Amino acid sequence: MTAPVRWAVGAFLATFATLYVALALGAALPATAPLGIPDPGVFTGWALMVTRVLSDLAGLATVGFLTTAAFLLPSSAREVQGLAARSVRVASTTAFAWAGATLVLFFFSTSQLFGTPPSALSWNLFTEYGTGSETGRAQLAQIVIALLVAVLARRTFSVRAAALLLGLALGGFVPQAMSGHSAGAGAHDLAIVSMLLHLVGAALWVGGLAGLAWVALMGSRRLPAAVTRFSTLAVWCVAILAVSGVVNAATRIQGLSDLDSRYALLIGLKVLALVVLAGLGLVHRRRTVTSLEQADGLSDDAAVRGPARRLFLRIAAVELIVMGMTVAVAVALSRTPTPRPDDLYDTTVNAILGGPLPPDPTLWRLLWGFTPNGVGLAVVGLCLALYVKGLLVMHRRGDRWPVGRTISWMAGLVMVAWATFGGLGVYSHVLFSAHMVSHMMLSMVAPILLILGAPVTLALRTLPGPRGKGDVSPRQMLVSLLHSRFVSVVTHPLFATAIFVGSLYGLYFTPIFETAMESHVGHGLMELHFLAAGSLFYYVIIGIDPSPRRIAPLWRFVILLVTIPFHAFFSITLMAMTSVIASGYYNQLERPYATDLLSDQYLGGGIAWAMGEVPLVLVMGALFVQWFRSDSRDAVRHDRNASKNDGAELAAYNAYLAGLAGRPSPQKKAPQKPAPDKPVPEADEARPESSDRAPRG
Amino acid sequence: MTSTAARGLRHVVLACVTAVGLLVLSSPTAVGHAVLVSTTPADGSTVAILPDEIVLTFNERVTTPAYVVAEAPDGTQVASGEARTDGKSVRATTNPADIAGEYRISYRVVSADGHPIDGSVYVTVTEGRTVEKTRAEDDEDTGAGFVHEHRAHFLWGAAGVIAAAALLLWPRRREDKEDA
Repeated sequence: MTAPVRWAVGAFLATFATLYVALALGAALPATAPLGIPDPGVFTGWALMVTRVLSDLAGLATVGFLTTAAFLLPSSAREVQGLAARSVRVASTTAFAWAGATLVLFFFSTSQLFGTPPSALSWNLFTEYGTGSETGRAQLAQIVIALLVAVLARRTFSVRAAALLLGLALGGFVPQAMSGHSAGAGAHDLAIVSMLLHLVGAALWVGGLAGLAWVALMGSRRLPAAVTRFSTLAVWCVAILAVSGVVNAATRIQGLSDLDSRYALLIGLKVLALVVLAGLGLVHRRRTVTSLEQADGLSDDAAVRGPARRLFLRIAAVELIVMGMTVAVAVALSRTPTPRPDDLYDTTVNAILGGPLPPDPTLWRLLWGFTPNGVGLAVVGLCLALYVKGLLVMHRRGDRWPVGRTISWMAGLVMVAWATFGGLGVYSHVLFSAHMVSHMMLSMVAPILLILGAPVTLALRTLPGPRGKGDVSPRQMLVSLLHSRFVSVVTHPLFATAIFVGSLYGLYFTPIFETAMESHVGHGLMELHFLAAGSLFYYVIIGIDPSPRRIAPLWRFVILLVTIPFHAFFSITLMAMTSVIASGYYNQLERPYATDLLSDQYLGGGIAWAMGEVPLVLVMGALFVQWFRSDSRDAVRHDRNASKNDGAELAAYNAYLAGLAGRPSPQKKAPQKPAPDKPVPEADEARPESSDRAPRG
Repeated sequence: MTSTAARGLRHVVLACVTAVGLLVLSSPTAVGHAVLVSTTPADGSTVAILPDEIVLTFNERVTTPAYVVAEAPDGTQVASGEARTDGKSVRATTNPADIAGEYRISYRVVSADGHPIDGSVYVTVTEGRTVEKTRAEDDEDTGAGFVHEHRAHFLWGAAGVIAAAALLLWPRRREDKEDA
């Protein structure tokens, strides 16, 4: 038996032995149904579990190979080349396997749902499962996405396309996260969002490691560089996995009494696996990464076949096997009944809200309430972590970052928190007026503060740069994104304003609002949309961050002036309405307070009017300040330069031209700075100034 | 080359848009497994005779295919086959059997998210003739202890893991010796 075969057989044995034990522990082993109830047979039960594991592993591998091609392997051009191109091709193969395994899963799921043995399945049953059942639709969506990835990976040539394809492959996990089981307890959206983050974290970590192991097996010289970058990614993944896993378990396990359930036992196994894997990852960081980097300086042969590489492969193989076993436990966990919650939500209101109706709103409850809103928690958590990480990178490098920006960003996040999972978020599901305040907070107030925190500038300064000449780094991806046609269309003032104003009319004066309110996913998407549309608008209007379009302050002023009446007109229309928006939804709630829906809506319109104007006026003031400052700053700079070096600007520019022409400059030794309006390209790329246009990538 | 790359990119963007559409279409309205809330007659209760209709109520909407089977102690089926769903509840009509003893009512429904839910409840009937209990019981809750219950499972699982470890480690030794 050759080594790869031996490893493969060993890994499969370990994975499926774990699956067996985990299913037994979770009391989810396939069993025969009681007499009289149609039984699909034990074969279907087992085939279902095994295909689920295989489908998950193929999906993880697809994500991993695309990550490897787009981010881990240093590429020397915009096009994927060499090993990266091969990695994309492998991703195509695994994506086909993913689609195939999910198709088989669909087959056996139909068999299980209708209690029909596989031999007796008919086309009718497949159509019924694929259209009528949410699990069926989710599996079909996953198959289609996997197929799209597989086909497109065959014709992907640019690193950018590979990165987009990675996003598409990660999207393939969304249906699975949404159709997974979140039991009768509340907090549906928290369960969905945490499960989604868990799957994405797992996919990037497990898949990325598999990709690295493949790079090592191929004997590539690029391994050390790839491992170094993966190491950073892995730390983020472990943190996301740990947090989202705990949160997800907390939505299913209600109290200490649930801790001795079978469900909690399997969660314990997963926690153990995460600890073991994080430990192995630490060994990588401490030992193999350094020895790989040392070996990198040696001869080709030592770098490709040296002990450092062998050590890396061994630890990576052990890690991958433990990861496979963990996936098996996860599959068993998804079939294990969750502990029965004490407060089973069985009324209509509870089902809609995912919890009991909140009590009468008081000022205190509006300020200090809490509701486990998945989208809000994820957005605030991730934005906080990323910004702090950026600040740490700046600090470690000795760079300064204005305190005002940090304070502004944090204040913006506090606003988002209050509007989504804080006291306002509690009532935004229940009262139209509270929803309107939340909407205004998310699209009018928080974005101003967030944009004043200059997140894009911070990202440009702290994202990892190229490791070698021509390497496409995350920073360059951001730069090229900022220069893409997509961004230049989206940041067109007309487009940004249309989205900002249009979503008011498009949402509230059509049935979309009621549909979105009725589902947890819809409500979450609505919150994301408010925040995104507001951020886009103020990104264009405030213009503190580099963007492909620089708009003169006067024009920004004009855009604002045009926007205000549209907003006011919307609010007044809302106040003048005699019918209740989304009356079906609000009537269902049967809330004992604010029973007059129309007057609540009138209040909401009034709030929208008042709250919409205030920030616009604020921004107007900020623009005036900016305008004044930029004018005087330009003048001051000009005067200072001219007086300091006595017209040296012109001399320096001449010297620069002379240097370009290849002539020795007469002033070469003099401590001259290049002219301020002709910055050195490298310096510009490394530290783009906030007031400058985004650098060309 | 650049034009091919640009075309590739456009296709990928198109695919991403399609995927978002798909995800919105396939997004569930109310996710969750249904949980049995109450039954008529209640689980573990004692009744004089089995009512004509058995009703199982869940915390959320359940859909077909739904099955309810009620078995007398001797295995006689007093209700079997497809049951009617009605929002959150499932109803099955029973045939009179005139047998006393513990009845098992097993059910299998599909919850709103498309996952089958099954289980059993037990009801004791006092009136009727007494029969010998011959119904095949589930071997759950034997009370023999966790380790005892899972001995066979652990043995098989451990055998698998040991075989895997042997496969992975045993030839490694030889390689290491060769290296030395």
